[in-house]
Amino acid sequence: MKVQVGRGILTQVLQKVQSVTEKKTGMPILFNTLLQASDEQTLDFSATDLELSLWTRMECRVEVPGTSTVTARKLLDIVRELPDENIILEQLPNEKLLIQSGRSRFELSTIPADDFPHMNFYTDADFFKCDASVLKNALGKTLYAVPVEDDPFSIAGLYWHRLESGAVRFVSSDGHRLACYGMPEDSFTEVDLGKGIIIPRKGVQEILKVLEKEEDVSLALHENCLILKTPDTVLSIQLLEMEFPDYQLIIPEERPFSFLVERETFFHALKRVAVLTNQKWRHVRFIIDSGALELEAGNPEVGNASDAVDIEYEGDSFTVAFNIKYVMDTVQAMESPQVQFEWVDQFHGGVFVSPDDAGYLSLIMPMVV
Amino acid sequence: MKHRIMHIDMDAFYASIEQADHPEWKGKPVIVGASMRGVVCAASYEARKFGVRSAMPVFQARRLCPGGVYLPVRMKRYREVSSLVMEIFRQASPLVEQVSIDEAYLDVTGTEKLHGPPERLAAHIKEAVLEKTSLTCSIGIAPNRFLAKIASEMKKPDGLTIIEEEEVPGLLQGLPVTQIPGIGSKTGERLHALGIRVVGDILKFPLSFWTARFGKSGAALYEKAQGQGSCEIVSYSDPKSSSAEDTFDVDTDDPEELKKWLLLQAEEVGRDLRARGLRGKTVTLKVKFADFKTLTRSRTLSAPTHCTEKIFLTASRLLGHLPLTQKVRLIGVGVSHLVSGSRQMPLFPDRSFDRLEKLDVALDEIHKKFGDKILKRGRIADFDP
Repeated sequence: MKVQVGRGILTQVLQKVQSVTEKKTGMPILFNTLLQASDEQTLDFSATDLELSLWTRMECRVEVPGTSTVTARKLLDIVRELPDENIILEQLPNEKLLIQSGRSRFELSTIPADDFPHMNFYTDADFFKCDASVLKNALGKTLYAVPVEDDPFSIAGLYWHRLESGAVRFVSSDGHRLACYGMPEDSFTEVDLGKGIIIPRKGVQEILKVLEKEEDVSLALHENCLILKTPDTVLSIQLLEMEFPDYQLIIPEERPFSFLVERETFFHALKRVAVLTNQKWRHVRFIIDSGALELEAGNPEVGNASDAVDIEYEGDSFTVAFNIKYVMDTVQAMESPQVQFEWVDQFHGGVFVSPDDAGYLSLIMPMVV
Repeated sequence: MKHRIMHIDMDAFYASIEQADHPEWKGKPVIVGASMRGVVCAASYEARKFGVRSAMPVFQARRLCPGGVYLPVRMKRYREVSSLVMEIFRQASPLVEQVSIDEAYLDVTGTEKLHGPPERLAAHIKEAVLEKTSLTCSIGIAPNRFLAKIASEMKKPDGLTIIEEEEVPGLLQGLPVTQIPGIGSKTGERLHALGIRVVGDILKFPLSFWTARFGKSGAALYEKAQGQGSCEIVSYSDPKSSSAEDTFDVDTDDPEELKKWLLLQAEEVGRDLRARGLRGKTVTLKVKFADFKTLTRSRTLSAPTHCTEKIFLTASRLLGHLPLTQKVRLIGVGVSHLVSGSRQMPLFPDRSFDRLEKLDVALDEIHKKFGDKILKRGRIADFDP
């Protein structure tokens, strides 16, 4: 195998590929990416962690077709450092992959392509077109509430299901908060979500990476896999076989009280008082009064902080406390100029909605201080 | 500022608790430790008159004091009383360092404005301890820790000794070296061999003499002989766990009996956590078998708890998974990964424990007011180890 590729495009491709390979695994081959160069003047990269598989194709000058596998991490690190735009990748007779650019030479160990695990991308499944920007928006606004740590009490994935009304929703929750993005009834009409599917956290992150620069996207569901296809990339994600809790009951339908606040102003005030929160005292207290919201954070050990922002609200005063990180995550995820906070009482979750983005809803359970 | 350190030592703690709980044993020689390892854990002052001492084999004690009341150790009860008296100490000063179940140092520097002169504070503490527990304690007040400890030893039981700074040299001069805390029988023998009997003798030799022979502890000894010592009180630090365990008089493999022990211990641990405003995320079961093989099993909960029933259920489920291939000599429950501070409410709360948590609060109140004999959980109504 011998190919000539551009550094910029190779970096982009390897960034996508590399994050799939990154997983604590005992199998060295899974750190590698499979390279396949063909006479059609294309170079394909594949990577898998056995649950998530990615295939992507780039055009380049292929002098000698062939295959190889090398560690994706090191290849990316090398390509990033190379001085010249023009890079030569060549499989040497000594089982090494030569990476050459200008006067720099690297030889990386390889594992034979035959040892690479079999990947099925189900490219013959029933794909349907999907609006990349809509999907990106929905995933971007719900990913933050998918728990990062493995925790037997919550689901480390994004739930995608269809309501009785026919509309679809993306829902994430770590057991303390819930983020939800609903779509109009005419979107994703082709997909049969059954009882709903759960996309693992890493899968959602990978989809977002693929969507970054793509417009032409199609999706398919096949044998417990979600497959995302663009003209030069296929991503296949094994779905989590778990049951998502019946979350709809805990979103209070009637929320009699609400205020409106400028999002940026609100976020900066939160960020300031957050300085005095810590592992033990993570709360921010909302002291809501006509026209003003006072934020209080802190603890007896370090000290206290307070700040205030103007709000659109006329009514009785009300106080409630939340984990400040949860509030900041929510406010940051919203892109609208204003945030609407709605509540029932101290015992029900507080609801954050975005007046300019009807699909978004965030529910955060209060803290007892 | 002139430091004032108080050392409080409960008088014959275990034995006095037994006498307080069983008035019929008052005035009688009481020896605690009848079944445990065959060693005396505590002896009442009446028993000490017969020469019975702590750590003495029980058979020897029986020979010295055949008419004594020999009792098993009720650690749970002693811990309970201990936390009561420590609570009283904490009201006297925020700086309390508990060094054992029946002993604590308090930094009472500058509390005169609040509590009056040290005599009055000491009298007040003694009164409160007597009223709450019917026990007496001995108190020493001095400019540093080791002097305070010496002071509390001087008039036992129910003693109060105050050592003022100016009295220190005179007092130390004639004090036998073996009365300095930290000087055990071994060091005592070495000192006696050097002809050193009282603290005053130590100062007859220069510091270099002591460091050459005893190294660092020689320097410390020389310092103490001059009446100098640490007055730093390391108060109560964040605990990492709370636990209770009991060794049985007779080994058992009866799951029902083991569960009764677990419930008692869960209550003790839960009550301790509740009293300190803590909750824990991990419940650990400890089992020691007849052959001394020890196993521990843990489970992490979805949300931190201090609920007796939750701790008990988790521990007994862990016990259920443990094959009881032989008899058990010890069982225990611990709760760790403790948290305090603001508490997150869950989206999907486990409401089944809400009422039980309220029950805990009510039981704690009743227990505080009337003692734990008055009301018991039904499952252990007939269980009184």
